[in-house]
Amino acid sequence: MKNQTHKKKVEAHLEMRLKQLNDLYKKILDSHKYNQDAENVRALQEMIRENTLSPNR
Amino acid sequence: MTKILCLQLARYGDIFQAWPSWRALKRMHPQVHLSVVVRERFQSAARLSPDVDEVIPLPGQEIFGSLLNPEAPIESAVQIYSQWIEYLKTLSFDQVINQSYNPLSSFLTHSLSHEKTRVTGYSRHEDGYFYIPDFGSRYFYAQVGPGRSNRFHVTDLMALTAGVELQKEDHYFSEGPTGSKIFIHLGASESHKRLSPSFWAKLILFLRQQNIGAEFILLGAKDDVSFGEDVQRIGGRKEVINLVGQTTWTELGALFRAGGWFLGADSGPMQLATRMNLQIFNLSFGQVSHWETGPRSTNSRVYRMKEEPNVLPEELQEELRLFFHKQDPVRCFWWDQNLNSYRSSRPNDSLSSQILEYLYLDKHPPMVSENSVYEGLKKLVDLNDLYLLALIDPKHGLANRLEVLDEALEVLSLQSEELGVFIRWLTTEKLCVPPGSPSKIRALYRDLHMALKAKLKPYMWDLETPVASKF
Repeated sequence: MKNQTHKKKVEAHLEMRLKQLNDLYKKILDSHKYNQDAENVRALQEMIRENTLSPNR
Repeated sequence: MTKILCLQLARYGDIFQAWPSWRALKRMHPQVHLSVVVRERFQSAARLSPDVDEVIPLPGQEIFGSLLNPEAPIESAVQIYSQWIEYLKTLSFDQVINQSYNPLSSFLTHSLSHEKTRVTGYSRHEDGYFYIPDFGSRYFYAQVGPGRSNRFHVTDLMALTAGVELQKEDHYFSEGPTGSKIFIHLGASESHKRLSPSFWAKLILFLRQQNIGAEFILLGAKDDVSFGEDVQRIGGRKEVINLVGQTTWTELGALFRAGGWFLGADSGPMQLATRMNLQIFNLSFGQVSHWETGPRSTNSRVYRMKEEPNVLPEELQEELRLFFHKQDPVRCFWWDQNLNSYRSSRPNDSLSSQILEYLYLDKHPPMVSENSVYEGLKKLVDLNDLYLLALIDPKHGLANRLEVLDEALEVLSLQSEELGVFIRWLTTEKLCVPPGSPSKIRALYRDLHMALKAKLKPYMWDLETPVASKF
C-alpha cells in the first residue's frame, strides 16, 4: 500500500516534469528554429515516457 | 582510426542479441574502435562482450535524481543530459548505428550525427520529425512487435541495421552444448513471462525420473530468492543447487561457458545462454514472439503455451524427452541454421507473413482465399486510388484534408493483419519523406501511393470471380 502511494506520487511528479519540459520546448522554439537544445528537451521527455530512467526497469 | 558507436538502449536480452552484430563489425573491420551506449543499469551485459572497446553508460540515475528532486529546476536535468551529449559529440564518431528502435534513441542518434557521419537506425529529420534511414530499421518500425507477423529474428534485424552479414561464428561465444548441468531459470524480465514455483518443481521432479545424469542449478534474480527456495524445497534439496539471486552476469557467463542445458522463459539469461551455445528449451507463452527473440543455439527449441498449465502436459513431457535425447521435436519450433528461421512440423506460414515476404523480399504475391481479407484489399485499393486523386488534383475535395484519408487508412489497417502489413509499409515509407515544399512532399507521397498500387495490382480483380481461381 505504502509502495503504491509512493509510486503514484512519483508518477504525478514526472507528469508535472513532462509539462515543464513541454513549456521549455515551446519557449526554445519561440526564440529559435529547432535546435540542439530543443532536441535535448524532447529526448528527456522520451526518457520519462519510456521509463528509461526508472531504477526498476 | 574509424570510430563506430552502437546505441543499444533496451535491456539485457536485447544487448545480448546485439553481440553478434558487434562481433561481425570487428570481424569485418578489425581496426575499428567500437563504442556502445547502453543504459547504466544494463551496462554489465555490454561490458561482457569481448568485442566492445568502450562502454558509455547513459547517466540515467543522475538525470533521474535531478528530475525527482522537487527543489531542482527542470533546467538542471536538461543540463546534465546536454553536457553528456556535448561530451559524446567531442568523441566524433564516423558511424552511428542505432539498434535500439525507440524514440529516445532517435534523438540521441540525430544529436551525434554530422554531415560526414554514416547513420543507420532511428533518427530525426533536420526539423525534428522522426526519420529512419535504413531498410532494416524501417522494416522493424513497420512490422515488428506483439501481434504482428514478422518472421525475422531481432538478432538478424540488428545486424541489418549495422550493415553486416552474420556468420555462424558471430553468434556463439563458447565452444558448444555438451555439459553436465541443467540450468533452470525461474525468473523472467516481466511478470507475464514468468512461470510459478509449483510448475518448475513439477518439471524438475519429472526430469529427475528421466535419469539424465545431470545436476540441476536454479538461477534467478535477487527478487526471485523466495521463489527459488520454494522450488528447491519441492524439487529436492540434495538434487537441486539453488543459485537464485547469487550470480553476477560475469559469473553466469562463466557457468554457461562450461556448456549444458538451459530451461526457461524468454529473458536476459536465456539470451546469454544462446550466446554461450547452450542447448535451450524455451517455455514461451503470452505476448512473447519466439520468431523475434527465441533461442537459436544448437539443439534449441521453443515450446509455446497459451498459459501455464495446472499439470505437466503429456505433450510437454514427450517434448522434453526428445530434447534431452537430441531427437527431432514433434510440437516444438526449432531453429534451422540453413533456413535462418524457426521450423516446426506444423504449417506455420500465415498469409500475413507471406505478404511480408512479397512486400519486402520480392517473393510471389500469396493467394488470398479468405473473402474477408479479399474484401479488405479491395477497400485498400479504392482508398489508395482516392488518396492518389487527392494528391494529383489540387481541386479535389480532399486535397487539403489528407488527414481524413490517413485516418481511414489507419482504421482499415486494424481490420486485419494482412491489411496492416500493407498499410504500415506505406505509412513508414511516408515518415521518411524529408522536409521540403508542399509540392515536393506531395510528389514523393504520390510515388509511394503509386508503389502501393503496383504492389496491390495482383489483388485488383472483379469480386464476381471466385477468389481462389484468380491466380
